[in-house]
Amino acid sequence: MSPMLKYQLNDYKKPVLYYYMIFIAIFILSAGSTNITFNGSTSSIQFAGIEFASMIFLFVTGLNSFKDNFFMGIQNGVTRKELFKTHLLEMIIIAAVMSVADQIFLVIGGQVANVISSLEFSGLMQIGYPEYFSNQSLLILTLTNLVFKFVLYTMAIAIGYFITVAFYRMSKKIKTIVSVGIPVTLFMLLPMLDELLYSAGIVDLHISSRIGNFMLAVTGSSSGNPWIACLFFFVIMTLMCALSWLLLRRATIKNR
Amino acid sequence: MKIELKDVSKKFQDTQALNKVNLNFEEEKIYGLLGRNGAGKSTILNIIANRQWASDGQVFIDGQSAWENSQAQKKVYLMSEKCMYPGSMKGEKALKWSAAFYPEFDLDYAKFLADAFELNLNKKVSSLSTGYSSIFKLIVALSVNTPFVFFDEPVLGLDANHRELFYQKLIEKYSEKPFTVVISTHLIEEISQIIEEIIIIDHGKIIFNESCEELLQRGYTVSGPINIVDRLVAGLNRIGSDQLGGLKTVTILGEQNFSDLPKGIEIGKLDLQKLFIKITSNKGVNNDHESNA
Repeated sequence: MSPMLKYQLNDYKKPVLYYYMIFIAIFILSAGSTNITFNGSTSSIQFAGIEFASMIFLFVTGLNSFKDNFFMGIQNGVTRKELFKTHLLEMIIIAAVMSVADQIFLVIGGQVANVISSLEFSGLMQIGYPEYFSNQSLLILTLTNLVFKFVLYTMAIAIGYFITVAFYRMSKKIKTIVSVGIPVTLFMLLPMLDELLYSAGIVDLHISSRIGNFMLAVTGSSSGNPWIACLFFFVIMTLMCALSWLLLRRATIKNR
Repeated sequence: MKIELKDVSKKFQDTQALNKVNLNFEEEKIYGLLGRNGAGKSTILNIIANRQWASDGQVFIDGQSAWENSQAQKKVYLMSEKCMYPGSMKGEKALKWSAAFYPEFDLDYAKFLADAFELNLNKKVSSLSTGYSSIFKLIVALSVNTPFVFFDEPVLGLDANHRELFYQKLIEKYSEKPFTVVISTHLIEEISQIIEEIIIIDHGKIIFNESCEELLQRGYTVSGPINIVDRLVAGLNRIGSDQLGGLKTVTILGEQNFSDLPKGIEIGKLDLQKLFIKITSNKGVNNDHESNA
């Protein structure tokens, strides 16, 4: 194993460990608290879509996995190409490990939920694709679950990494414009424009509804097929990685 | 084994940081890379160490292109002003990781140096003072055992004792196992005793590149009463002059050929710093730069 990959994986070790420790602690506490009766009624706890928490966690770690590694790598004679390769390998390893870990938690959680009736435990696929979930064999379901998680997690890391590399390459001025411009455009200008166009009768359906429908289609929710989502996540991940490489290959060490 | 820079240019927006620089760093020599602020010293080192790319030209390390070449990059180590180690990393861990990246890294020697410099390796790299941050980076650079080690402002923030200790350890290390050392600094006086070769860069161009001893032999100073000195140095390659009261000191580049010196005239040796100031002063090399004290 190259020292850079070892270094980068080492960087992930503690956060991943802490994440699962917190997760397990919350699960144990929650499972225990379902037996507590309050005013004659027993509390009910629902764990839904644990993959979503993992996805957010990996997105944040992706955001934090560029600058320090880039500086450390360049200081130690590691080229940008090597750095990017090790980032891809690291992304694959972390996503694979967490996919398996989350799948194991889903199985264990499901078994515990079978025993404790007031505890509900379900994965993202179970919620998003209920028909597919109830019609497939256990083997196919496990395989789909693993692939779904894996591409989702790699996509989360890739998006986080791309954002951080892009921000690193931007000048202070551009950084400010992007930081202010994107939220203002997404959450103020576009909804206003959407409403204006709809009220004026220029469009027969809100743009936001069109985007929503598009998202339902590309994530396979409307057709009930999780493999469409896998393909979509894979395309986004590939695109993010390609853009990250284009930005990284000419990145220089900034003095400030 | 050598490092070659061929027609290397670097432009930062409107600033031409390097302009067709041609330079060689030979095996097992100690170089002083001198230049004023913004002359292009750090840019040269950053391009060699793959931190920045050249706008034009090429850098070769042992015959291989330096840009994005891990094999070539493993032969060089750049200790720069900027700390490249993660701030949250402790000194000891940073040394261990350096050893993982550089197979020849001498961890025991690094720990010995840390003791000698009284550096606490249990402290986080980010919490070190400017001086100790420089010491930490110096320790890594002295222990890394690559054929080429570049020091960019190595004694930044170091007190006199630590500066002396650094020069002493550097010479010891070089004597035991010679390697190519390139020191880029403003403290010319301090390194003048240890450098063999001197490279002076000004406004992105190499204006001197020769042996330190030869360079110093090429110049001398003539001091004495103003009118006599002026008469004596007329027609010579004057690179600067200082005036104090009725006395004048003129710096000359060239061989000293006076057979008979008038009374009151003294010929002095050039020191490196003085020569550097003279030739990099804004008025250029061949202009007689008058300064009145």
